[in-house]
Amino acid sequence: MRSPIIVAGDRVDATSAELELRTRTDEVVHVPALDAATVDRLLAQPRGALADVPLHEICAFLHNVGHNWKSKEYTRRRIYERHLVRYYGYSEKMAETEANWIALLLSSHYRIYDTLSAELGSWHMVDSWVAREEAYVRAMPRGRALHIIPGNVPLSCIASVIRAIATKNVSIVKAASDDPMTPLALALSFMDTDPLHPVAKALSVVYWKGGAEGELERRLLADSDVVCAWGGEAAIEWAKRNAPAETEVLTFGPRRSVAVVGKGGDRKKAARALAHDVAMYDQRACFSVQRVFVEGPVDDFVAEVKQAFALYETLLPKGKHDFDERAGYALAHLEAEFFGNPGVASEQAGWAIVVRPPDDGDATARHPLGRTLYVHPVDHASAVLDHVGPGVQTVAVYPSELALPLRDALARKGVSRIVELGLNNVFRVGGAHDGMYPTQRLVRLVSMELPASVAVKGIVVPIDQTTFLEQNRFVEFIP
Amino acid sequence: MTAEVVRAVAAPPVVERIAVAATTDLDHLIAGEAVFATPLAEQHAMRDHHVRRTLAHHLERCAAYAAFAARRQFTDLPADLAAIPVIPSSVFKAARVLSVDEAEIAKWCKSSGTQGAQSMIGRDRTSLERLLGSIRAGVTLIQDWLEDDLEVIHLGPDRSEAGDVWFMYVMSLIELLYPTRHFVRGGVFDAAGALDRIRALAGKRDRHVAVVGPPFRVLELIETIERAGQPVPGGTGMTVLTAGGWKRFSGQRIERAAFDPRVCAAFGLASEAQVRDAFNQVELNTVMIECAAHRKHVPPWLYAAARDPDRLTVLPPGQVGVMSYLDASATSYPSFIVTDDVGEVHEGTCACGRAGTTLQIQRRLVSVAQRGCALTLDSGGKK
Repeated sequence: MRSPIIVAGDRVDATSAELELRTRTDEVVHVPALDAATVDRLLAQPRGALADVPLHEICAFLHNVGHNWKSKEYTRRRIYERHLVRYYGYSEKMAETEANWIALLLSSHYRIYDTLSAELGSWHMVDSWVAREEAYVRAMPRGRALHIIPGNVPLSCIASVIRAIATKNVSIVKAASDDPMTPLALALSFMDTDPLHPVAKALSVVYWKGGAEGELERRLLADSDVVCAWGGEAAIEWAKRNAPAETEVLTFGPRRSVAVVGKGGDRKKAARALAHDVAMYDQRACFSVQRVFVEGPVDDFVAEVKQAFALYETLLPKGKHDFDERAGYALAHLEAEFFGNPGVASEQAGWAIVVRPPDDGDATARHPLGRTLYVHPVDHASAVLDHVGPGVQTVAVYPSELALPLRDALARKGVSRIVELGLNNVFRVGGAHDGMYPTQRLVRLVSMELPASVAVKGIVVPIDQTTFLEQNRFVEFIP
Repeated sequence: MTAEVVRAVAAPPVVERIAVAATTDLDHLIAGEAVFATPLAEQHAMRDHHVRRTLAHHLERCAAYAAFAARRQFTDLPADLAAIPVIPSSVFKAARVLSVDEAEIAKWCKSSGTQGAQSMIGRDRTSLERLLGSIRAGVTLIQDWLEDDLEVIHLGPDRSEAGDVWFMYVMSLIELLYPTRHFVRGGVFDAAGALDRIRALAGKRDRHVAVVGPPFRVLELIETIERAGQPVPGGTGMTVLTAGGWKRFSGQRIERAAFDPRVCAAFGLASEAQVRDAFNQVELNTVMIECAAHRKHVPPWLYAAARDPDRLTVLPPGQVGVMSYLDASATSYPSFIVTDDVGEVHEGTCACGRAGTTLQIQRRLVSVAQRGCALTLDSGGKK
């Protein structure tokens, strides 16, 4: 396949050079390479292109794009789903689910307003000055956002770009070699809706080989005001090491997630929720459950999980995995067999459940992903505390009330999220992402503070500091 | 060959004769002169014999391996080599797996831990001596030097400083075979000192020089030479042997196609055939060295096979797979392993003219977690 890049809303089919990507399904994709002329064009795009576009206008545009995505007949969506299957190895149902999620995120205009309100205090702040105690505050876009997108979860590209657009930044997306399709499909769907719309013009999509960054890539990074770096340690390290000191670098991942199942509740329901959180993205996401700590005997629960996994083989059939993923899976299972860990696996390596003591440390550490669940029998749910830290993003609990006795200790241990099992991929409005509110970091807060004529709260006289000094009466005004 | 030991026991005076395997035919093979000079069929026969005998030893002496074999329902004796159970090398990171009493372990060997936890391998004296033998045998693929014909410039520490860290220890073993000077002291690489010595030896008619070290140190030396703008006049009298891989310097990795010409230019070598690489890993008891055609030759006590990534079954020669080994030279632990390396095995006559099995390691497996934002504990998460 020959794939274009997008420069400020314009499709570019060729540059002075071409790169060849090999996807996880061993397909070849040719992409125009970054060259000096393209970098010049990218950097010539005004940083403030969206600054004066009202949020309503932005949300309406995204909503219209989302409505196109909602239609299963939308050509762009159909091509995208086909590409996810062919180049990304997704099963058709996984591809359909991903496209549905894209439609949901783009169409949920209320979610954009509510997220900005939850994270900034008021969505109005991105459009105008908002009174905050003794100041009027406005959230200005930082300018140019560079998104370094991972190949494991296509939807993270959509989330990252929507956040940047909602905060009125212009975006350059560096696509992942595993998934050059998602950012491109997003940008092209913007252009389908209105190629001249400022939001369509505010999005560029380029590609370079991760780990082979040179002068051109460093120019892009150096001229970015904010970087959203997702994915593996190497990508994040490159951004952190090379970004100018004044550039805001938001890092997402790498992290892992675990689940805890307490004695109470319906174990069949717990097993189905667990199967969902394992099956989504075939455990490649940072919120994917890799290990579950189960109170009490686990045999019956393992039987329930086995049934739920079998169900998910039909609901969300496992995608194709490349050589390394398959080998990692096979080696991990052979290792479990060496240690005599009881377990059960599907015939076609579709999933596996391995019962291991929680403290077998290193063997558990080399998790192969690919729908492998390590089940750890524990006497009490609090045993999970010995196995979590800042590297853990999400702790999923079942039943949901289990969150209450655990949340303080989990928070102290450094985890980012506590959710009910089955909802790992649903980032609720108001929830933190990897320990932060991302939109706060995508804006620059500017305040216009009240004049001297307005008394400071608690002080009954106007502020006249010269007089205060002349009369040495400062202490009289201290409340 | 067996030696008879006479054990005298106090009253009543009895003389007990017991047979002790002082050296075996495997030791003779490893220490022999013609390891790589036998026809392929003969090599296969020797390999099958030694691997099967070692299998019986591990099944008898290593309870963990025997239990694993039983779980795999392995009863196929005499074994088809492809069916012998192999242990993922990662097992040695989590457990100490031994086929001898712990008291017999002469050295605990640790992997470098570049990719997380370290493997711990216990080697007895026999295993260590055979390891050294494999180096000596492998060096014959470069040339069959007499002891005083060769001087080694080792870009690493001596054995005492190398300690338990495997790749440093293995390279330092060269000092037991040839006169060697080490140029890492206190963890500091003395590039200038190494270069002075290399220049002093270059061109001496009675002496061949071997520069031995990990590729990142060779690269450091190349850069020093390039900065000075004065290549070493190595000619035909010098060999550069790399081993140990790039470790934590993987960011500086240079592909062989570019690395070898740079080595040749900096050291003034007459041919790229004078640049060789050696392969080993802590769980493997044999060091394999490249021939002039840059193929790593598998000696006839080692079964090497690439395996398919799904079932880990053995692939025919020439197909790329996950590398595995049945190493008959290790007695203290079952060196019957499947590794994290991707490579291929070839059989037949090599371009160097020798018949045998050769292998090419392409790369290490990349875990899913290394690519995406899903972190596994082993990939560096803090607890």
